[in-house]
Amino acid sequence: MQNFNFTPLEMPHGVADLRGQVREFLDTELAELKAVDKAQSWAGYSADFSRKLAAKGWVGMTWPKALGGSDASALHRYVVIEELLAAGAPVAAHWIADRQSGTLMIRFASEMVQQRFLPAMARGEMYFCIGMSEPNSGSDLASIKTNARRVDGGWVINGSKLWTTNAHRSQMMIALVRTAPQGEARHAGLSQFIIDLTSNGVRINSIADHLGARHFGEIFFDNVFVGDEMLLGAEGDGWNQVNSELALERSGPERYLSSYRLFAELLDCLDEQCDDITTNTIGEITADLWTLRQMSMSIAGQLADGSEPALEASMVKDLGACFEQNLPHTVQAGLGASIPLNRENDLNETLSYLLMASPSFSLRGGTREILRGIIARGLGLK
Amino acid sequence: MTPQQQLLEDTVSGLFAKIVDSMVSESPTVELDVAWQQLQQLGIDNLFLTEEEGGFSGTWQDARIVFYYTGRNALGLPICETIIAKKLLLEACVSMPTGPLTIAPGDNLSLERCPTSGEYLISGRLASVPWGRACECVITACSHDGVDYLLALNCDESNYNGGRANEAGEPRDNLDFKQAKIVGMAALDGAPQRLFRAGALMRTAQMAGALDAALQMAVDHVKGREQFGRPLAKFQAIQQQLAILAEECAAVNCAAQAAALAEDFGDSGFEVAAAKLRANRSVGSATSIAHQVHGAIGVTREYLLHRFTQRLWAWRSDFGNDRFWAQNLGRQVLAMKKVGLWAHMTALSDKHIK
Repeated sequence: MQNFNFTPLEMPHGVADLRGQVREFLDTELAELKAVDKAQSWAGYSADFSRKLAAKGWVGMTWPKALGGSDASALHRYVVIEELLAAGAPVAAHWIADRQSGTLMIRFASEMVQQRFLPAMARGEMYFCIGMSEPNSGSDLASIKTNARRVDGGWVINGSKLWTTNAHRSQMMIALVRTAPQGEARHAGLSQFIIDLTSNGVRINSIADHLGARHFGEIFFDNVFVGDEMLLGAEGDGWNQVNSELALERSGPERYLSSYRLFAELLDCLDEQCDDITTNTIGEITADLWTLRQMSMSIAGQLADGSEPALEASMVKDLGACFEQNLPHTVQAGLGASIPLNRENDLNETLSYLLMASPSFSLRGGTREILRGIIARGLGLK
Repeated sequence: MTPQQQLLEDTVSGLFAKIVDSMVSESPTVELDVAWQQLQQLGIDNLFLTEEEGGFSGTWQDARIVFYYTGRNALGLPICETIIAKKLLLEACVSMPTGPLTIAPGDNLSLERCPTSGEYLISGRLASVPWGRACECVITACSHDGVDYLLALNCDESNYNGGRANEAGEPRDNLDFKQAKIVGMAALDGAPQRLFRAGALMRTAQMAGALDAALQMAVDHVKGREQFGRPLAKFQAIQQQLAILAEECAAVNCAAQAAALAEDFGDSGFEVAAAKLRANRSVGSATSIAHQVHGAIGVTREYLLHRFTQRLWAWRSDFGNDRFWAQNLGRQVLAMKKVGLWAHMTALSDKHIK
């Protein structure tokens, strides 16, 4: 059995100053934002906010200066995004582009393609979504049917994607599609393409969730042409590329902070003299929160050093999702005594929103069952 | 991990396994002398002392490694307690007794001046002292007239007043002192809190080790045991349960390491509270999963899973159970009203600069 690596992170110089600058910016920008809107966390969408954040140099900040970035370290970016999430900033518009599409393109796209997209992404003007799930392929991603067929000068794509976050609010998609029929090696024959969603043959419908919000959607591709340069990385290497991309998105602060605003609202409501049961609950939530932050930071440090702790990242995501999901239930169970019951106040409004939004926390980016399967494989059980 | 830490890890993991293997009896006090000599020869007990004094000039992060491997191997000796006792004596500039030492919170102790000699005398009970009667001295702390003191008390100066061994059979002795002489004493700011915090950090790291050992045994067992014509390891129900156990191991390990780092940077009252509470909270689900996948063999005397699960059950109560630390941490957070929890937590980690 391997030991899991959770070496504590020691921060680089300058993070406290950077944190201060981000907080100052957010104090102004979020002054008018309602508590329940802050609780949307990285599902909160505001193109206006994304552009302002980008103007400060905090979108695509690890990318090269020549491509619109700031050449900042991954840990400085980590500090910025954890501040954004803790404050409840509406980061959804640029989130995917900043977190993974840009990094993926820096690794796998031609310089020409990078020049075409990254500067606009770093300005907070061009948004990306990720095309993975399909009507008949969710956790079993290798079973996808959407395909790309080689034609003169490029590829023609047919099929559809489903549950795509911000499908209707992004200009571009990076999609995983089949470039060869499924053979014996289930994960072979998959490739990634950058697709312009304004192309001929693309049709997009947003889908209302049970709160009435429209944050995901379905996309149909009917003979959509993409040029050769839009193939990302090597033909047939899509599965490996997607997996290294997933490792990047499984351990970030967004994996344990999605309900943090509720905890912040709760603490705002409480006096220092608080009943014992509530005090106990605060202590327990804090211990979990602190530990998850240490775990997430440890992985950030390892990623910055060039390792890919995929197993540990899956652990953070699963533990983090459980924490985020349990938090609204714990708060609801403890209402009364020191915690105000008024249904119209910010705390209760935030609670109500998160009770309904939280089931997706253990679905997006790999379900709980898939993550635990990855961990079991790491233990040598599969 | 630094090369020195790697060396320390290799040394203690091998040595502790060897000592445990050689301990034929389940009563650790019998073998204490022989085993102790092996530990002392390597200077493990002097971890925090300088090289000239026979130590390693160790840090809390180094000590965390020793703590972890005592848990990983279920080493039934007060080596961690001795390391901490010597660290506190070193800080307070009190001379160092030899042999195994132990530590205990001194909340029920009182100091008084001897009317004739003028020297301080100690009275009161130290309850459930780890290996109390097997150690020459117990290091404790109390406050008197607004001053915090670290005390070295000779265990022979006390009356042994019963006490119940913990779930793993490790001695926990009640020692009653009545106007007893004090071996060593010095003022040390925050001594009671520092001693208790060090104890909690020690148990957290030991629990991380015991959790990893239980996971290892569970993994080995399900790979070997077959039912319905295939190894238990191939059943998704088992895989998903062991993934949860592994996550608990990872969380407690991470918490222990981060708390040790914080202790090296100074006041770690927040981090140790969070880490010990997180460790305590893992015990229920982790031990039940480890036992569940083992079936009946796991609860036999012969099979050694109990060495680890018994210690986890015992250590959950040592140096602060869940309620203690949840109240402590909860009150710390509620008192942060002006600064806020997030600002406080980030300020703590931002101090840990490379």
